[in-house]
Amino acid sequence: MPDRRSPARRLRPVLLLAPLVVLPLLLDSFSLYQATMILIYVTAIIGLDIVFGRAGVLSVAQAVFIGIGAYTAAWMSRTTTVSIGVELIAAAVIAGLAAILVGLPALRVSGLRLAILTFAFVELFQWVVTTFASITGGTQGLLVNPGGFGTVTTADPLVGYGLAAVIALLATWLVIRLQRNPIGRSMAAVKNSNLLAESAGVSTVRTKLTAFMLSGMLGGLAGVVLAHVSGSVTPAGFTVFSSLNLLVALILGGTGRVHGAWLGAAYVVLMPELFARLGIPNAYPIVNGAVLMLLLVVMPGGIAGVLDGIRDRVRRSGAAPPPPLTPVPERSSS
Amino acid sequence: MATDQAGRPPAVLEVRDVRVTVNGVRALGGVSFDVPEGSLFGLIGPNGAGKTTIMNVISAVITPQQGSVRFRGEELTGTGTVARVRAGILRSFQQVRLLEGMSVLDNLLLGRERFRVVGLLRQIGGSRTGRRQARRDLAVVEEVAAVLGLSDLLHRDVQDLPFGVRRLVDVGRAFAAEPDLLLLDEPAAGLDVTSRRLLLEAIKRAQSTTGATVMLVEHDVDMVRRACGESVVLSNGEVLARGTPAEVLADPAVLRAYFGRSDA
Ligand SMILES: Nc1ncnc2c1ncn2[C@@H]1O[C@H](COP(=O)(O)OP(=O)(O)O)[C@@H](O)[C@H]1O
Ligand SMILES: [Mg+2]
Repeated sequence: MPDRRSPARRLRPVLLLAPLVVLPLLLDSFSLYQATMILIYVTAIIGLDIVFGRAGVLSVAQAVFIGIGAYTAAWMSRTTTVSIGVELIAAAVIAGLAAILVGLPALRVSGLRLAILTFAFVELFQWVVTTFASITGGTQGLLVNPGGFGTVTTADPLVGYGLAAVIALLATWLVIRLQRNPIGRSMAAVKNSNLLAESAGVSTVRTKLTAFMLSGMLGGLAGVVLAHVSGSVTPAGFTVFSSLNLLVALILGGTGRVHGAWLGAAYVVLMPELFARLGIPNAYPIVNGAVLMLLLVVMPGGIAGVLDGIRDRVRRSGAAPPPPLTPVPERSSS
Repeated sequence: MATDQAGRPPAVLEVRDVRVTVNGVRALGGVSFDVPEGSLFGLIGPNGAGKTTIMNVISAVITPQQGSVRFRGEELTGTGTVARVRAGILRSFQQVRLLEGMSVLDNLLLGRERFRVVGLLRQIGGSRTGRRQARRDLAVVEEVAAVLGLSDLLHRDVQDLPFGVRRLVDVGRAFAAEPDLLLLDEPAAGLDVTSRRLLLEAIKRAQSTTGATVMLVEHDVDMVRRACGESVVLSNGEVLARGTPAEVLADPAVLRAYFGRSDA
């Protein structure tokens, strides 16, 4: 199809990408670390959004996939000399397969019961990591050797940032592709109702497993970068609370919207810091909970939903009102 | 094959002795009828007659306790909803179901899902087969939109459209699937008289351009008389009469069951 987008719309990606390139040059090292964390969160949250926001399956297993990616990277960085590219591929494959496994119960149960089943996988992951301590380091965790390509390694924070940015952009590209694509439509149908999906010929089984697999792969990729940027992995980083934190970020930012994940990621990384600077770090969880409850009631579309609403209102002010059913004129055959 | 009177087109669907009991209540008590190929087939009957139930059986949303359904001579019993959709049996529901927050175009394109062959990776990355299929999908959807009068609304969000147009989109999604057999469950329910007429005209037009066999549940007797060829009247989970609308509506048993207790 020809590209019918206006020049302004074609410029938009450039305008959005420019800050990503310029930012690291301006930031001090702590802010660079935070920017990197935001980008890692973006990838992980987009993964969660595919399963929850797009396919409508409530899962608290996202932290497991990040954990699988992180442990894969940690273990490979210590026992092999492969490039970080190999770690990323391995993590995406393993986490993707694990996600299909986690998704299997989704074929029989749904809603809260399914969420509880995905919770069981988080517990299973915790049990495996603490039990097989000779490989995973148990509760102590593992130190992660810097990874990279040849001499370019994550020992340099800029490399970690660049990697996180590239993967976050890849995830964003993926979810944009999904949106206007038969797979995205199938997911929307499954989210709406199994009845609608199946009566359109959409296999709910395949669609849900696809959503889980993609979310797992993105989680795994995020985990690899997280491991290298933070320099160590411990099971405490991948609990059900980590998953819930991602879920809060997604709902706050706005589910089913590309920029929702970005806004949510920025929120969960920057807010605790803000409270720490104000000298009231303990207030964060309380305020966070209150804000979430408030948002769910007042703005269920999240921050992105509010922004979209304003944009739509501006656009619609010039648009024609919706028509009722009208007769169709006879068409002359051409 | 069922033996038919000479001159009648072959039956695309054969329903035989279907019995359904829901929660101990008999919904269908041995229903049999044939749907001739290429027709606009009327399914009439008062509320609770079992019309939705028989559609649920044909589309495998529920499994009957007994009986069989044959499509183009092949036994369907044992196959699932998606398999039947892929074989060309489409349906709409009494309640409008749309992809909310998405455009009319997206909703119509959902109907094309049954033809999807391209796998995940190539779907995301893009492929020649995928692009060819996308072009064909778009062409079919635009044609259906033109026939139904939705061409100017393709990029509107379905959430912003009035109820009648949403109904039309719901029906349009099914026609976009190029169905061989389409089951429409009270598509005109809840519409005012003018909209009902327009919607049924649109359905009739789409049926004759596509040549699909359409089974239509409709309450308005005048509409049925005008739109449908052969019809079946259900009451209390049993077939009361079958024939042309004029024949069945003159049947004394139908007059008693239908007009004796329903809306009139
Ligand atoms: N889910 C259900 N629970 C209980 N009874 C049902 C259910 N579905 C259908 N029935 C019964 O089956 C009969 C047929 O219903 P239905 O097929 O919906 O009728 P129609 O579509 O002709 O109005 C009704 O008597 C109804 O009470
Ligand atoms: Mg009904």
